[in-house]
Amino acid sequence: MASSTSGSSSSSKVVKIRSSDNENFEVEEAAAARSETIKKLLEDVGDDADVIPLPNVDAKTLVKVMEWCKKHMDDVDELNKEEMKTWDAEFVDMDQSCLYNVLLAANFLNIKELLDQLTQKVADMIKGKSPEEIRATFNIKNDFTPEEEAEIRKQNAWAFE
Amino acid sequence: MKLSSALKTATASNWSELQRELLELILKRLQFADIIRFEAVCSSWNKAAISYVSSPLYTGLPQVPWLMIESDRMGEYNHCRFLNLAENAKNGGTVYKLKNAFKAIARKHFLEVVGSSYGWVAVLYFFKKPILVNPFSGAHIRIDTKYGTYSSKKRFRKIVLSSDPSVNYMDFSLAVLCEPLDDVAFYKHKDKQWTRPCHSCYFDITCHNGRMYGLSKIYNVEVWDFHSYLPTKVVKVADLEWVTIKAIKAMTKRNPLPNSVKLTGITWKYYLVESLGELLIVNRFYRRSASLLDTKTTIGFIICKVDLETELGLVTLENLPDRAVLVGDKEATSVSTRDCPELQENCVYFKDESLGIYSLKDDKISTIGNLKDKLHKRFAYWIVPNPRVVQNLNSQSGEEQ
Repeated sequence: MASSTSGSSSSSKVVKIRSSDNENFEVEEAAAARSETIKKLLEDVGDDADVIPLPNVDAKTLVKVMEWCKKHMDDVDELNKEEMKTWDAEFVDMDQSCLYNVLLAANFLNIKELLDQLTQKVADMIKGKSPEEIRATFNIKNDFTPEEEAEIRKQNAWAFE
Repeated sequence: MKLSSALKTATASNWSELQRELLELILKRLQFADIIRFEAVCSSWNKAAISYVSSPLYTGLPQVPWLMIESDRMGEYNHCRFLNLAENAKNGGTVYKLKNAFKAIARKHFLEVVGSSYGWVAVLYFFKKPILVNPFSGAHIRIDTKYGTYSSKKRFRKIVLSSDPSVNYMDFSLAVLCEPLDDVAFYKHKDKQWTRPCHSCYFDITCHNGRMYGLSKIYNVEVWDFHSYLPTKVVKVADLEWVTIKAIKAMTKRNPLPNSVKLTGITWKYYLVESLGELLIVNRFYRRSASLLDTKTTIGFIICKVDLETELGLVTLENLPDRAVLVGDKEATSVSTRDCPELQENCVYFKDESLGIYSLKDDKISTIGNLKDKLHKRFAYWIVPNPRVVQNLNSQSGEEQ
C-alpha cells in the first residue's frame, strides 16, 4: 500500500472497516469506495465515521475483496489493460468455497464490475459440463427424487447424451 | 487470530442456496444447452432457470446459431440433429440428436422445412400444410390457409416471421415466398388474414425489425411493411448480374473447371441477409457434379452490400471484419464474431456434405465438424434455440391431431 504513488496525501484518505469476525482494516477511501455500499455509508456518516461495520463479510473474504478494490482503484489506461485482464483472471481463479464467499460479498458490497467478473467465472465453470460434473465442481447435493430427475432429463434428453 | 481463522473456514459454501438474483446473473452468461443442464443440477437451480427463461424480460445471450439438419438415419422424418459449434469447439462442435423435434406433426409424414426464424421452424407436412414449431419447447402454431385471399394452388417455398411468436403470441406476421411464381403473400396471425401485394417475383426475402426485404428478379431490393400493397422503398441493384458474371470468370480462372464440366455447369443462388444493420446479398456459387446424381458442390461466395440510404446500389465487400455469415438451404443469417468468438470472422459457413467454411480473406474452403452425410440431404437451417415459454399457447391453438 505504501508503494502507491498515484494519489497525493489528501486523496489517499484512509477509512476503517470491520469484518463480521471483528477484524479491523484500514483501506484507502478511493479503494473502499469501489463498493457502492461503503460509499453510501461514508456519505451518510460523513467525517464522523469511526469504523464501518460490515456484518456480512468475514475477514478472509474482505481481504480478498479489498485486494481487488485496490487494484481497481484508478482508471486503467490502454497500456495496462492487458496486464489488468491477466490480473483479473488470476484473481477469480480461486477454489469454489472462496469464490462463493467473495461472490456474496461483492453482491452485498455492491461492486458491479467484480460481480460481473465473478459470475462470468462461475458461468465458465459450468459451461460444457454435465449436471453431475457441475454438482461435483460446486459440491452441490442432488436433491431431486429419482422420478423428478428422470422427468427433467427426459424433457431435453438431447442435452444429456 | 486463531479464533478468527477458525471462523473463516467455518463459512461453508452452499451453491444450491445462492440467492435467485445471483443465479440469474450467472444464467445470463450461459447459452441454451448449458441452461438446460443447469436446470438438472438441483431443485433450486431448476426453479431459477425456469423462471429466468420464462420472464417476459428474458432476452438471452447472443448465441452462435446451431445448424439444424435431418437425422442421419433413413425415414426418421421426425428426428433431427443440431450442430453447436460453440461447444467443444476444438473438435468441431457438439452434435445433439433431438427425437420427435416435430411432435406436433403425426410421426410418419414426410416433412419439408421452409424457414427458421427466432428459434421457430416453419414446416410443411401432410398435403403441404404449414405449421410453426419450436423444436425445443415442443410448442407449435398452425397457420390458417383456409380463408382469405390465399390460393390453395400455391406452394410455400420459404416462410419468414416478422417477430418472435413466443413474445407476443397473437401479434406476429409471416411473409411467404410462394411457388411457382416466386411472389409474396403476407399472413397476419391475429386475424388469420392473408394479403397479396402487387406481383413481383423474388430470388429471396428476409425480415428484420418488422420489415420485409425482397430481392426481386428484375434486380430491385424492395423494403416492405407487412400487409401493405406496395413497397415503401425500391433500390435498383442492376449491377448484381454483372457482379455475378465477373465472379464466375474469376472463379474459373483461379480454379479451372475439369474438362467434363462446362461453364454452364456453374449455378448460383442469392441470399438476402441482414447483418449488423446492413443489408447484404450473399451469392453462393455451385458446381454441378458430372455424375448422374444431381449434387451440387459449393465453390465460393461473393458478398455485396446494398446501400438503402444513398441508393448507390451495390458495393462488393472484399472482407467482412467482425462478422460471419451462416448459410443454410433457403436462408442465411449473420452474427457478430465479437459476440460469438467461437466463429471465425470474415468467413461464410455452409453445409454441403459436411460443414464448410469459406474464407473471404484467402478465398479458400475448409471443412470442419463431425458431420458427414452420405444420404441425400433434405434440409440444413441455422437456428438460435429459443427457450421462451409461450403463454396461453395451448388454450389458443388447441386442435391436436
